[in-house]
Amino acid sequence: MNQKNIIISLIAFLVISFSFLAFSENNQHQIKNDWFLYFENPQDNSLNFIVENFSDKNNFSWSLIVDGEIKKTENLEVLKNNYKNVTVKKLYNGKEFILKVNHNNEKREVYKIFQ
Amino acid sequence: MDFIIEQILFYFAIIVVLFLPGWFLMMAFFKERTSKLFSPIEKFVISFGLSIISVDFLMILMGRANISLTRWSIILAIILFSIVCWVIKNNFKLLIFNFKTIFNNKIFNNKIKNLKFKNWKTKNLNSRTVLIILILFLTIFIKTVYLKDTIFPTSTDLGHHMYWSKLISQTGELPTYEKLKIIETNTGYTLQTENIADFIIGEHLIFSAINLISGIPFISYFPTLVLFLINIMCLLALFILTLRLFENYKFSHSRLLGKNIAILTLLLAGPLYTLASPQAKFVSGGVVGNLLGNLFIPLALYFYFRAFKNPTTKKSYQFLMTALFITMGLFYTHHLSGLIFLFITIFIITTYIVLILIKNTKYQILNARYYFKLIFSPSIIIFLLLASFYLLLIYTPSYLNTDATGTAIGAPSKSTRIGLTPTQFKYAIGEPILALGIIGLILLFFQTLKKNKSQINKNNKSHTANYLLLATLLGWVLAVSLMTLKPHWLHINIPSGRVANYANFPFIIIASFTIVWLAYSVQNLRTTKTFLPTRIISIFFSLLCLTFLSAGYYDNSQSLIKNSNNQSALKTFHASEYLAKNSEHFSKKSMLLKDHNHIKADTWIKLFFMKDYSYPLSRGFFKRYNDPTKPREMCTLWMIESPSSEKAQQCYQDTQTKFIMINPNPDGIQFKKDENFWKIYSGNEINIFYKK
Repeated sequence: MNQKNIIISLIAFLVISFSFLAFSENNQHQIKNDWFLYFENPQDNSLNFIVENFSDKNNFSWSLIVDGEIKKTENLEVLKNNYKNVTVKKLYNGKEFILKVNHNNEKREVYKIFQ
Repeated sequence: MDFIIEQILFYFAIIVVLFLPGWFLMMAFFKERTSKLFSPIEKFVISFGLSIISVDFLMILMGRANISLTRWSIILAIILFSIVCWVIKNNFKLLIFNFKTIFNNKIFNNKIKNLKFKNWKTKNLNSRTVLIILILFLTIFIKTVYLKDTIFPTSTDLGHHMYWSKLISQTGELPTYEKLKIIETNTGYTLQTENIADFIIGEHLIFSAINLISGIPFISYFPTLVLFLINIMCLLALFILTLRLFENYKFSHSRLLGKNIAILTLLLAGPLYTLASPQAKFVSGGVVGNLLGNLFIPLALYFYFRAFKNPTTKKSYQFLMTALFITMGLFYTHHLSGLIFLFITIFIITTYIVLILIKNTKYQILNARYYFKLIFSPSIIIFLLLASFYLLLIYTPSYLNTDATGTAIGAPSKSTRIGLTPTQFKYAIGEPILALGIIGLILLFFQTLKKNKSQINKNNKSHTANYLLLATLLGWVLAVSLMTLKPHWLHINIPSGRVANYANFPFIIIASFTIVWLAYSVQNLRTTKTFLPTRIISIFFSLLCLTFLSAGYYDNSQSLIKNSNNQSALKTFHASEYLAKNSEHFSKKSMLLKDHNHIKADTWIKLFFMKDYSYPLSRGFFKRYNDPTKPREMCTLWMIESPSSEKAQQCYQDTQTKFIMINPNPDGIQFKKDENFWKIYSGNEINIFYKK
């Protein structure tokens, strides 16, 4: 057996395999076709929120619902692989503040309930 | 460009951590004889195994000496260690001469000549070389195809292990293996710190070293690739062990077929049964301890075999010392593998003694004297004393400090520990491998006893080797089989399914022996009269081989059917990152609770916070809450299942759980109705609630 050739071949196979797997894994770190909605600060009383978009469509609309009543509705554009902060002034009195976002026929909401 | 630099750093880290120290240590152990004693493949595999253990011990020493574990401190320590080994290798001559003298003198030139591998057969490529290269290519190719979809870090075990490795990298210190646990008190619940016995330092240090040197993050490809490399080295360890075991073994027609058996072992363990446990599945599953155990066990057996094969020679001391060093490394890496190795050793010794009693040959009795002299030689005793000093005064593995040893010994306490049925065992090993393994053992037994009758007066060396070969394989198989099938006979209390994973390799070696024996027996039939025409027997043998090959590939194909859950894992990471970024606003004691049942890659969440091994708290598998043998805490179940209930509210208050990460599809509804919770994060697979 020519072991020198075996070791050289093995190292070559491993380097090729490792580089391919590393490259492949690197490319899998991208979220596809989804979006997220969350409060800027999860603990305080502010209603500022963020929409993060990983889908191909950029158009969103959001509405503020206070105690079941829609108080405000606006459109929002968030580019792919980007996010947008939205400042919401708390001009209304109420207990339950829901922020509802529509995107591509899908609705998501976050809310804060005050005593 | 960043990717290329990252890759260069990764390979640099692999060479520095996983090859360099072991190479120099091997040189220090065996000095100028290294090239005579080992073939290039052996040196390649041994340096890998010794490197892992050396780096572990070096980092433990640094940690104990309060030297911070950083990129440069680790590199410097490895360089220093290598220089010391090199000096020892040269009989301390480097300390006497200056560098100019060293590079010009005869000693160095002779060493360089030795490094040119005297033992290498520089013949042109022969069929065996091509076959081995082809086998290695197929092995790596199939594993790569499988890992392509599983390389993304999602596995539960790997997430747990990488927490400890990251902790070492972040703090630069050795970790204390402990976690927070919910304890029920008279007034409610409380979080208490308790020791963990299931994690051992050797499983984590090499990952920390590679991370520190290369700078590649833990949530990446690198942990899986390191495990992949360990798995490949494990196959080569099996290959070199088989080569040495059957080195002098002659079939009845006096042909040495050790190389063929070793190549067949590589084929069976390589491309044929390459994906199922304990191989590629363990690589993607992050079963670090098992993979390392499966590397160290054959390596340790390799050195023990060579030490006791010729106990009268000077090199047997060096072999035995290396074997003990690897055994020590095994016990610093994985307690289950250590325990299994202990039983394997006991069974091998017992089998050997029984064989001597059966044959009662004067050579074996004479050998026993040499063995005694070898084991109780000053160098081995000094080594054992140093090892004990290290164990007791420098670092004691976590499982020895807790009640883990107590829980592993005794009557089986769970249904998963009462042993596998023969059918389960058959599927764990692989049906054809088990069948051929049993046939091979019977063949080997009678062949060895029969052979020794005729060879006894001719060649004592091969006589001893054959006995050792039989004792090693029989003892190895018996130990792992009994531990899997009848654990109560041995008074052990460990998961039987996990032990079964250690049985594959010895059975593969014996199955390879059987196939080679059958092949040469069929070949020999041409010269002898048989009751069936030789052609029919040859066809029958070919069909047998075909069945064997298809069984191996069927096993692989079963493992390849897998859905990738990378996108789900990415969503878990996104939610974790959101909370981790905002954690500066949280009170220090604010606890996070997540669900293990419906969230992918949830064990990796803790790497975003690095607060505690149990941060976040986890709702485990539902069946765990109904364990009749051990009462479990119920808080984590109640806090997600019925968050508004009184008992859950008490749990929230006592554990200070403020955030809950769940999958909204099965679990969102119960939170929506409760005014005590804010929904602060919304995704299609992850929602986060805040408890006011």
